[in-house]
Amino acid sequence: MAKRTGSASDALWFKDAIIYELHVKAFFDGNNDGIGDFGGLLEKLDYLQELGVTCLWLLPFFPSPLRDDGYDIADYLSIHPSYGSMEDFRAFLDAAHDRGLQVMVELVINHTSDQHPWFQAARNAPPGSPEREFYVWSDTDQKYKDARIIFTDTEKGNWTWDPVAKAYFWHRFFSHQPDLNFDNPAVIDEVLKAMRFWLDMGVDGLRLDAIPYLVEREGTNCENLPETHAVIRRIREEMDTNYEGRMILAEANQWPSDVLPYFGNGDECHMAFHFPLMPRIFMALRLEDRMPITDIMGQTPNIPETCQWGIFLRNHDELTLEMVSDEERDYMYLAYSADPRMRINIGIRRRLAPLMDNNRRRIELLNSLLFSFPGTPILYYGDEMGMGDNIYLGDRNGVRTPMQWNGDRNGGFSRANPAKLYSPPVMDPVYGYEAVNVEAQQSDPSSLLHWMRNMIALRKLFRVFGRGTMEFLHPSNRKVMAYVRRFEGEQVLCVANLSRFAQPVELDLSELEGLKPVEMLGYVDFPVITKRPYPLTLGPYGFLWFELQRVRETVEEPPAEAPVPAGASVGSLLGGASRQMLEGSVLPRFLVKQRWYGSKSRRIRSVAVVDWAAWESGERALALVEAQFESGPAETYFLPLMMATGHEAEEVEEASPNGILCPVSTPKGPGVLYDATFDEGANAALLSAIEEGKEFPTQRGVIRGMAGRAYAEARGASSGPLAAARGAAEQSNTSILYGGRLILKLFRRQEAGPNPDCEIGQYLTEKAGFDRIPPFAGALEYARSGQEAATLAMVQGLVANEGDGWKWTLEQLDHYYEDCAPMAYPGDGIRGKSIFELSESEPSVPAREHLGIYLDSAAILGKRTAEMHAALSAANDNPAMKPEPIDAGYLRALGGQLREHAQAVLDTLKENLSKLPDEAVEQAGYVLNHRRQLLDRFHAVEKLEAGGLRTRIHGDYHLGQVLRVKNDYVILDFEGEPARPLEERRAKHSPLKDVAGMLRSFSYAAYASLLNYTTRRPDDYSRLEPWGRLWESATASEFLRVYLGTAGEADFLPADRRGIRALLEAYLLDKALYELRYELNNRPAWIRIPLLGILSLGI
Amino acid sequence: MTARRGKEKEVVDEARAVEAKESLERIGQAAVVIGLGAAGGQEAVRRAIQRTGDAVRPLVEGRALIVHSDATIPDGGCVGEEDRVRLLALPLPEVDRLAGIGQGAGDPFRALFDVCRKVGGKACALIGSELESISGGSIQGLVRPLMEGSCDLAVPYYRQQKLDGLINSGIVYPLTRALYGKRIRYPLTTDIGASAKYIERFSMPERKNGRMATLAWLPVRAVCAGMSVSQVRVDLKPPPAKGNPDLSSTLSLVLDSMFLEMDRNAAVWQKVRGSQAVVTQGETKVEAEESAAVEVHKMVDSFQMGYRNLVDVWGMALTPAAMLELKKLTRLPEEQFRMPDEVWVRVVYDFALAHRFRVMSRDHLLRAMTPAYLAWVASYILEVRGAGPRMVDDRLERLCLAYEANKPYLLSRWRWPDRFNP
Repeated sequence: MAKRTGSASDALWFKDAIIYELHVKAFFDGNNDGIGDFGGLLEKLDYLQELGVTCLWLLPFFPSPLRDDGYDIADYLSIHPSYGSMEDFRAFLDAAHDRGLQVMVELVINHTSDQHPWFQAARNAPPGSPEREFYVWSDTDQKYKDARIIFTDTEKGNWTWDPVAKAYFWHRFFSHQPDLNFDNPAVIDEVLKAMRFWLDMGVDGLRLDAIPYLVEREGTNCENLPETHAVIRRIREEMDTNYEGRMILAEANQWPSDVLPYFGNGDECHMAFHFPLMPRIFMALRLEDRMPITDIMGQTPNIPETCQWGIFLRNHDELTLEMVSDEERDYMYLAYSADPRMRINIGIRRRLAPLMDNNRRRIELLNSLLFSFPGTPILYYGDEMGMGDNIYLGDRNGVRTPMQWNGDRNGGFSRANPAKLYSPPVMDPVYGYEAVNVEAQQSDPSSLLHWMRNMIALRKLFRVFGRGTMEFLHPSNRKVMAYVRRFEGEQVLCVANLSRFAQPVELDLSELEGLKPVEMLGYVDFPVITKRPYPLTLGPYGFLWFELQRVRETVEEPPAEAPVPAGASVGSLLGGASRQMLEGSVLPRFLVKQRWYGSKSRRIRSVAVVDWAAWESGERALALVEAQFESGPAETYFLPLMMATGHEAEEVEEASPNGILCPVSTPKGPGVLYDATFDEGANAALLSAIEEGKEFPTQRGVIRGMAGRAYAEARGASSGPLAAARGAAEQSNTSILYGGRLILKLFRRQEAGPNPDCEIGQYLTEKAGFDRIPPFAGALEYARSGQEAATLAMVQGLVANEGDGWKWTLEQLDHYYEDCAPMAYPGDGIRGKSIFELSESEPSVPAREHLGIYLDSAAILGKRTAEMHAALSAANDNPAMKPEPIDAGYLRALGGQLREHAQAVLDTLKENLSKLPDEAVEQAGYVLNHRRQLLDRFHAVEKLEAGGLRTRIHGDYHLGQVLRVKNDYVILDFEGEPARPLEERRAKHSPLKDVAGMLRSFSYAAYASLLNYTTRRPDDYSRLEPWGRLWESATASEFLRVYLGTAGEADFLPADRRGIRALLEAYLLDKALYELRYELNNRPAWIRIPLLGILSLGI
Repeated sequence: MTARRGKEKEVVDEARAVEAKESLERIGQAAVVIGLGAAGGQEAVRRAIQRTGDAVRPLVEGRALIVHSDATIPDGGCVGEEDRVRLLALPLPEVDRLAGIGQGAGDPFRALFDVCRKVGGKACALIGSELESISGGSIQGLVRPLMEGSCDLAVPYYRQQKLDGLINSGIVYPLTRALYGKRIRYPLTTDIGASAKYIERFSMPERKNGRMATLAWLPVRAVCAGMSVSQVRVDLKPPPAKGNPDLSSTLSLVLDSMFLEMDRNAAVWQKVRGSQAVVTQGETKVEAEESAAVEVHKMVDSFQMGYRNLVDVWGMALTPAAMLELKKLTRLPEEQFRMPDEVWVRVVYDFALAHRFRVMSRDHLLRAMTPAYLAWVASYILEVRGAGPRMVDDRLERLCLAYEANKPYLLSRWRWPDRFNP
């Protein structure tokens, strides 16, 4: 026989398959002899194709005395004459392959029929002869006593006396099924020969029956032995060596962890049944509790990438309860087999529909789980239309009755005399063929058959079901099961209600924020996921499948890899016909990929190049692009651009793929358009434009460089160009470093008006002479008539430093907790005192003793902060910088704003109370209970006496914004929060707002470090917490003490300490509330820090 | 064909295959292969070879190979005096207008891919358009992007009058665009340029229902495989359909093929929303509009008669709401005869769904769509009568957007077929 190929082109075809298990004898009788056959099966292939299944699993069809439904094989290389001839089989196989269906057959190798010629020869051959050695013999029935009996209803032992051989033979199943002896190499040769026979014919898969039992060893339970695995590996090796695209499915009724070895390292079976899952699905449904399912899935190990679970609801055997506990088994018997006739061996011999009391919703729900769980679903013939069973037939024959095709005689299965049928069809009034048949359901658009066909088609659209990972969600309502499947960017959310009543559920989908669930069946858009709990309501036994789609961030996706036609210069793109393509597709795609792009959660409606200038003879361009959104204000971004071709383009593709906007087609050949800040030459040119004060006319204005007074000193005397390097850490700005001397900040987001970082930096350097900041050295500005000039980039002198204040503080705190951990807390006298009160005196002795140099550093930071505020309050010639008095009107407005903010935060806290970590709930409740007192604090602001000044301030002041330089600090980054509008960032406030920011930063450092330190030693938390409080209050009060001392009688502060304290505490409370909202949305585990901050203010 | 004649043909084909293999071995390597697939006289072939050779020579550094059908030119011969452009006489399976949907005998695309692979080509182009319409610009347009490596498949953007190719304008283009998300104006093409990557991916023969399937819907295959497609504005004139089939047959053939392709690619297009432009190269030429005398009233009559006669058939495919809209249309006088885009799109989608679910014989179903199609054509002609090219483009763009906007309707019915529709 010529070897034929399998039908599948993908080696992992079985992962996407829908397997349909059928008996040839039960499916359709083509020759009307009362027994189904291959001719009949061939006639029904169109039905199977239309149903949508992709692989047919044929139960044994070999010559057999049929005492175990064909699993007692008498000849591996023939067809049982009742089912047809080998030619019939080949014709069926070809026809199936032509329809794209794969075919899997049985390879029952653990045992044969006692009628097999091998056994007949063995029992007649003398002991020790080659014939005899095909089976396992013994003179006693006392060997292998640890092996359990599987068919407990019919078998008393695993040994049976053979009077001919005058010896016992070994059998794990029926006594007419002697086990083959796999210690005999000749047996393995014969098994491989049988395998090759069917694979050569083109069969796609083999189901290996009962494989845990192949080999026996004394002192073991004779299951899952290493020698058994060696046999399986030999079979797999033979398959892999000689055949492509074939598959082995293991039948091993074991716990998942015990099945794992049957996958080997991808070198044993491709698939294995997940037996324990099946009864737990039924149990979860009856209990209306997802736990049995999530529990067993939690015990299911990962399997090799090339392997797959086979999952099923029902099959040709009983609903096996071997893999459940005794109690669970009792429950299952009570729940699903009221009539003892429904039970057999250790299981329940019923079909799906009767198990579900023929409830359509329950049947659909279980199938929805089958189709959405990880693994390949296996359907049992007839279950697609809800066929019933006949518990009055013996063994498991009640679930092996003829397929019900129509309401005619014999259910359309056969035209033979009913008495000739191999089995009577089901004829009861509920499940009988007159009520349940293919023809009726095909003509009923609402039938289960149609439903199944639709579900199968739907599942096949999404490879994630067959190949994806699974992650359970944990909603508090355990009647609802929810899980996310993921595969190669495809994400699907499935939710199922196991209850007979409607159920509400709130899902924590915060990790999927921004995605839009699209209900799969009807393609219905659901609301976009946010960080908030996602509420759903499911009807009785309802289920929902959602595709999680990315909300379209762009007007349209760009053509993948499509080069944009360009001339020789970037200007030809920005000013030519290709600009439309840039704006329509390239720029939207590029923007959303950039870290500096701030509106990733908003939908872009359009992007336009609003202005641009040719730069360096047109080789480069400086562009301003504006993104319009579906809602909210537009945003403008600064984007230096250039093109590269040939080798240079390849280098850009290699080194900076994220900087590429699009491929371009130029007269010099293909190339790329990319962000010029990835080019060293372009970065050097940016600096020289500032240094030399160059001007670049744009379409609507001008871009010009401007060197600051400190430029020459900051740059240094070096005559050559400074080497330019793009900074690695990119956030809202892009940084470029020049030879260790200068740093250029390129402000991406643009608004009319100077950037406060530049505005304040220039003032402090050039006017106020404040030297605890990096010196301002120049800027690149964009001027357009009718608008205030905007800052595109700023250059500063680079300050040598030992890291930022936050990092340094955490290091100090690590040492502090390490040192304090073994010590008893000494007491401190701080309890009940505010930092304001503590700041009136020198640090306590314990604080001085344990905090050491950090107290000095807090003091110096307080001093520098006060000096900075004094410098800022001295501005008098620029209206944008000039201080203004804090009057009653301002205080009224401020109180109102702070109160409004507080109300919003407290509302959010209330909504999220149930989701807080246990240890934070009490504190949160306390805060909520004192809502009125808290809001009164802000009322008090309105009644403060006018005094002090509103000045320009840092605006985002915390330990991360200062650099540790020797034993001192340098203050950085006056930009404010980049996400806020420029007008807000340039507003004037009391300098105490900065002070409050830094005080809160000390608190964060103390507790963040403590949480980190006690992650691995949670028991230490309560012991170390007082030490943390000591550290925080000591550093904060020392900072404040020195700050107020340095400021002295400065006019930027309210005139008396009471006024200072009231305003400062209001800012502290506001900042802590701001942090509270941030942590609620982003880091609930840290929520204790702001809560403690609020409580420490004595509400 | 008798068994004897069939046997003779097999022998001749085998001999030619051997001969071609030997010829290819003699010719050796070539960087690009261009096949001339249209039938034509000897002189027409020779002129086309000359133009093709002149056009391709500046594009390749190595050698180019032109595959043609003129058996009087010896294999290995060359264009001009130097041998950079070599010739191979290997009649490809004839390319007719419907070759792009896999109609016709043989598979000209894979036959040329095979030659290209054998000579180690970096790219190949099959020109199925009429030989006289082949210009240097068209050849260069299709080959250059491949040689530059800027796309995997180059397809023509034919220059057509506003009333040409209306099956394409009314169904094929907008439906393909809505499904696959790429704005490829002529997805059904007889002329292509393919990169080595594309050739590698699609050379392998496929089986469909037990038979060898010819390669069809080449741009769609490229998109589904994640490959890049670019369009080139060309002057090529596609060949006529063999046997000059009538409108119903053409509609049935094209839609059957298209809907089968939809079925095949369902997992891909169901994840696409909206559409994207593809790179289109070449100059837009504004041409004088031909005055076409079209008898719209005959189309309207056909539609009205179709509605009367086919109401039962349409009722199996269309929703009640769509049927009602068509009924309203039958009552309109010719001067007010306009079919709203949404109605037309739903009709097309409903027929696609009916085809998928085999509500009746597929050929019968698709032929029954002809009167509805004529209604759309009549409405379209009345709308664009007197319109300039830009207005026509805008009109088609609106139609395309209607296809895209109604795609969720198609998806929901595709995924959950139910006769109980609005």
